[in-house]
Amino acid sequence: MDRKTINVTINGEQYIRNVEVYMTLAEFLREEIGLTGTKIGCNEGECGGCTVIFNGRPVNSCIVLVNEIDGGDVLTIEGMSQDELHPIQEAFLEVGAVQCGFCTPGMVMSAKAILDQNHHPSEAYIRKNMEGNICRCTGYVRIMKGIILAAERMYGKAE
Amino acid sequence: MSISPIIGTTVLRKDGKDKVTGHAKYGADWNISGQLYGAIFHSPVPHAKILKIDTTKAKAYPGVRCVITGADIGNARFGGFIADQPFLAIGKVRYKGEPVAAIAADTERIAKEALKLIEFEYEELPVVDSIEDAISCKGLVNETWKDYTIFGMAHPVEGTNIMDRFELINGDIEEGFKQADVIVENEFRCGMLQHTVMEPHSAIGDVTDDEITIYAPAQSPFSTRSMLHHALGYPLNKIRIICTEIGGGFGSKAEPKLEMLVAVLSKAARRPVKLVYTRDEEFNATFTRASVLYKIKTGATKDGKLCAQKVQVWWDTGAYGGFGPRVNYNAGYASNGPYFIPNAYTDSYCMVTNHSLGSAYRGFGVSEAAQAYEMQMDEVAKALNMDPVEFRLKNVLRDGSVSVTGETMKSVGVAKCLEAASKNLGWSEMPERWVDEDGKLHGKGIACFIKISGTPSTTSCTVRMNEDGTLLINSASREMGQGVRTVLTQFASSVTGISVDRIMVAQTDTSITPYDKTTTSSRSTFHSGNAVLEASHELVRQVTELVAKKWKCNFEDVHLDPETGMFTCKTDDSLSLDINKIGKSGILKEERPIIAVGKYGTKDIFDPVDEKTHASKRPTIMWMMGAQAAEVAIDMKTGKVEVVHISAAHDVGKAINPLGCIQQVEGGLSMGYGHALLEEMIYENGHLKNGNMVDYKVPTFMDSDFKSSIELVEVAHPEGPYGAKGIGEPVVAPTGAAIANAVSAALGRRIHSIPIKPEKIMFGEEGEYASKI
Amino acid sequence: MLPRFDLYEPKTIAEACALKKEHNGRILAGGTDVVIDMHGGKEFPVIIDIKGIEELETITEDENTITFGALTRHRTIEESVFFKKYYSALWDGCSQVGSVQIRHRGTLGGNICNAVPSADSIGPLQVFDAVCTVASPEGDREVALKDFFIGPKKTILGPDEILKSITIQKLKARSGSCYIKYGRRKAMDLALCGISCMIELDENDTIVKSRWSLTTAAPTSIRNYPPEEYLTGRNIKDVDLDELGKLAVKDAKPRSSWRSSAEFRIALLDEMAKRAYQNALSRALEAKTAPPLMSEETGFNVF
Repeated sequence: MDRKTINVTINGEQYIRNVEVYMTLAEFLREEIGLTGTKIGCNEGECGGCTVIFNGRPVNSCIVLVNEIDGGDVLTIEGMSQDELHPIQEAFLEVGAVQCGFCTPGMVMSAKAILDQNHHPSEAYIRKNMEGNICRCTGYVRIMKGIILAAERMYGKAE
Repeated sequence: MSISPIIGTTVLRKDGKDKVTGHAKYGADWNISGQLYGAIFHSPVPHAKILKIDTTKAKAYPGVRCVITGADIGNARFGGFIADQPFLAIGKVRYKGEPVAAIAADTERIAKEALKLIEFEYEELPVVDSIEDAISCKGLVNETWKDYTIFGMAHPVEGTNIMDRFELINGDIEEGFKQADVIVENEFRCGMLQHTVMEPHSAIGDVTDDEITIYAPAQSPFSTRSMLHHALGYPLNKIRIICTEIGGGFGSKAEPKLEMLVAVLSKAARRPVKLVYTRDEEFNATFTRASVLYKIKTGATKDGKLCAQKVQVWWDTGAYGGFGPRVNYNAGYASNGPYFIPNAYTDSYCMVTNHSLGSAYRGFGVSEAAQAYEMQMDEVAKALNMDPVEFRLKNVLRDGSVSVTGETMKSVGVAKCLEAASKNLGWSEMPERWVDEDGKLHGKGIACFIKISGTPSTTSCTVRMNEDGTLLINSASREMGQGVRTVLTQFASSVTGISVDRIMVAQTDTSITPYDKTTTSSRSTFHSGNAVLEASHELVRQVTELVAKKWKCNFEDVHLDPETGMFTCKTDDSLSLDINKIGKSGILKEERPIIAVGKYGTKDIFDPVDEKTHASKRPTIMWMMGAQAAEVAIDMKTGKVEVVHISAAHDVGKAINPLGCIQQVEGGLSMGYGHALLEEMIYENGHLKNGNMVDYKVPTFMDSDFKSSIELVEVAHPEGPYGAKGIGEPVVAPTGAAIANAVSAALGRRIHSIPIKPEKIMFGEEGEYASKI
Repeated sequence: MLPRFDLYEPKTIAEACALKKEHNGRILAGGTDVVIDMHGGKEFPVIIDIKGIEELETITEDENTITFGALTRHRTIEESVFFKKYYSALWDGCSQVGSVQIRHRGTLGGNICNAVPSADSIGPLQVFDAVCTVASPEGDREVALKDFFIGPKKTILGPDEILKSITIQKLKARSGSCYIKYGRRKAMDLALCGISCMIELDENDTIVKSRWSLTTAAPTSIRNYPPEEYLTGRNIKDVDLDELGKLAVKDAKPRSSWRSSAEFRIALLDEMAKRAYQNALSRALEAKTAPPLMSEETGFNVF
């Protein structure tokens, strides 16, 4: 087949689209649905700019083919906040984890994946689990601070 | 007069919320109705004569609306200093990746599929693959320079690959070397780098025979407008550059590339065209930081004073001029470092090669210059048996010192920075080198630097008060992460008393925004800051007039306290008004609009430089200085260098937004770490071997596990807004040198080139830096 | 933008084998190689996405072996305390593939079938005597992992065959293993070279079994016999590290390229062999008993 009908939940909303199968999840989000918060930095799975959470896992949406998301659940940066910022977003803003901002959506999604799994991550754990998100502006220092602050606000300080 | 507390207080990034929510719109996030999609056919070879470009099949491919080649554009060329670059190759291709043909089609897919149908026949020419090749004229990249328009600053030499030569002459070096007790000569190299901005380049062009509109993440929209004007002949009022958010600049978006391509493609297609580069195109066909070779000869007396220095420099500028001459000029001015040297001579060349364009990159060559002279200074200190910090402190410029160009220096903070950086590293408590319990070699290194900001230049802005009393700043100082958008609101707030929450900076559009030369050279806080201050004072004057009118009192009797934002009247204590509530006061109603203009220019301060010697009593409005010290640990059995600690001290004049300054330094340390240890574009016979993000290694989160200590030194600049100086580029200037000096100290032998690969640690670097010149 | 292709989504192994043969199709597992290749312009007219075949995702065990379905993700192993503790080399390898996002997608089967010499999971699997189960319409056959490759990016898989699972031998008490990867940066890197080893000691500290393999040291990941022969039957107090290092690189034939010279890779492997051995040894000395059943040791790695 060269087309497929995709029935997917994105940020809690259902979308049904018939699309060419040679489309990636990143392209689907940006071009079919119009959610441009997901950024394409390299299109080769190396920069993490396009990170979204797909069925609970952080993935590079540029290397996920669209056929696979049929029946699935996708969370993008646009789904992170409704009326109020998510604590991760708030913490990023507060500690200065953002500069040019292009990597930020991917960073926020990877941070979300960490905190979903580990409520009290160590610095080493954060570093290891953020390794797939490249930032050229910040040197990562404040992104680290932001994740730690968000974890503390969401789940309290580690024992 | 006291300064408003908003100056020197951390203010959260104005663009932060849009960025953390994914709402910020970068280049590729824009679309305009009726747009086609562009694709570029890039040269597959580095140097060749074009025999035939057959686009017949591509044109016939369903959905293709337009295919153009160099022949369709005529002889139009562009460039910031020398108009040598064709929109699409004419006659020859000069680097692998050079645009040869452009396609506009209904979809991106169709455009890219049609690329495969273009038939390109060529005859390969010898590849000028190195600085040595270029010097030996093994092949000429340009057969002649005569055909190109030169906009000053570029000085090509006919019959050679020299695109520009810069000399700096001070005193008499022959005499100087005669006074020297020690003379040290060395060669140093820096590898070719890529900005690797996270956001790939993109542009949308909407062009008719009468008007050009471009949407792009441009750092320097007015310079782009000027290049389009010179190359295509449209008057300036018919060229409009609408700026999108910038996902990382570092100089790579300072000069136009895709903007030029979509301009001619859209014109030919008679439809808007959107073009977004892939990461592969980023690496092969945008801009780089040129590789460079330094030869330095330095003389010093036995009491540790520098007496003469000769610096020879060759840049691998790549196939076209780009901002190469500006790199040559800025790095040339910096080439002797922040030192008092009575006799100095610099001779610096931009060599063209068959490589991608070596152009603006965070500092315009200043980082590479520091890399060279700071490694050299360590060698001179060693020859004199002096501590590297002590040696530097003995020779650095101070207030009142006369620089190598004849300027009497003022507001010089470098000594303070050296002292702070070394102290925070624990310099004096550490031996030069030692071995830890795991057998790793430790060493410490220091480096300082000096950097000019391009002068003369002009900036202007408007500040407008809306009906509700909020302010809108129109400035072309482009936010690209460095925080200028936030800082400008602080300046406006400091004068008007209006809270920063009620001030915003509009997105830049050259048809609306007043002229600003460029967002480069770490100039925005200084220049736009001064312009916004001027405009804000004018705005307060206009508002005061209206308040006086309302209060029926004299203008002179109405006073605004910028700290509280309260208007009061000298003659009537009962009158007062908070400027933050002026919208509801009715004062603005039915009045003429409050629009204030501010400008800042440096042509009256600038002392025009001598063409030959480049002597000048004021070559730049603002010198930037700082120092960094590093401790490294080396595993000699694997060649791995671990950075343990970097201590940075930068003279920012006045930290307007301290968090913003710290962000710049932290990011710079990571980038500098990458330059020193990881990053390098590797060319083999004109072909880039590692044009992807696995093989071109920018530091990852895992590489950020070193300790950093940061101190902001504040030596106020007399002309800076509240004393502020630039910080964007300086942060990366000394990092590589500090690390290289620490590695050299640990090894007990000199490292001469970056990046410092593990193989160089274990096997030496002889073949990697020594020139054949 | 990906080149066009025709997509199939088989639900059974038999269907996948038939489609592969009929269309000469490219099997798609996690996509971390195939999709990236396609982004780079490589054309695969037919893509067969096997992620719908559930039986390929399971991990099972019996008394002597553990069997990983080909679709076992690297992240699954990385997150498991069991594999970190008892099959450390495999954990070392799987937790260093690409990035966390890549490991959530990339599979053991994909890593093996992509057959590049730098694959981080293949070397470690080799030291556990991994055997591949290959499925075809004729039934399953078993091929030792060390015999699975016939060249860079080339495997023994026939036109109608797919890799179904990988089986490793369970370790005994007093066994330890280690994989050391050498990359230029600390994450998201290809192995410039890598070395894996496993040793099993008897109660007198004599090495009764040893397995070694090399990564990016030959056209494919290879078993490395000279150090195995040297160590087997030798008491740990008689192990000369310098000699071990020399033997560990005896069969290494790395290439010189712009990435690094062959000499440099050899020097690294020599040193890393010593470190890998020492690391595996200390793990073996700590492993007083044989690993328990997988189901008895659960937990999530938080480092």
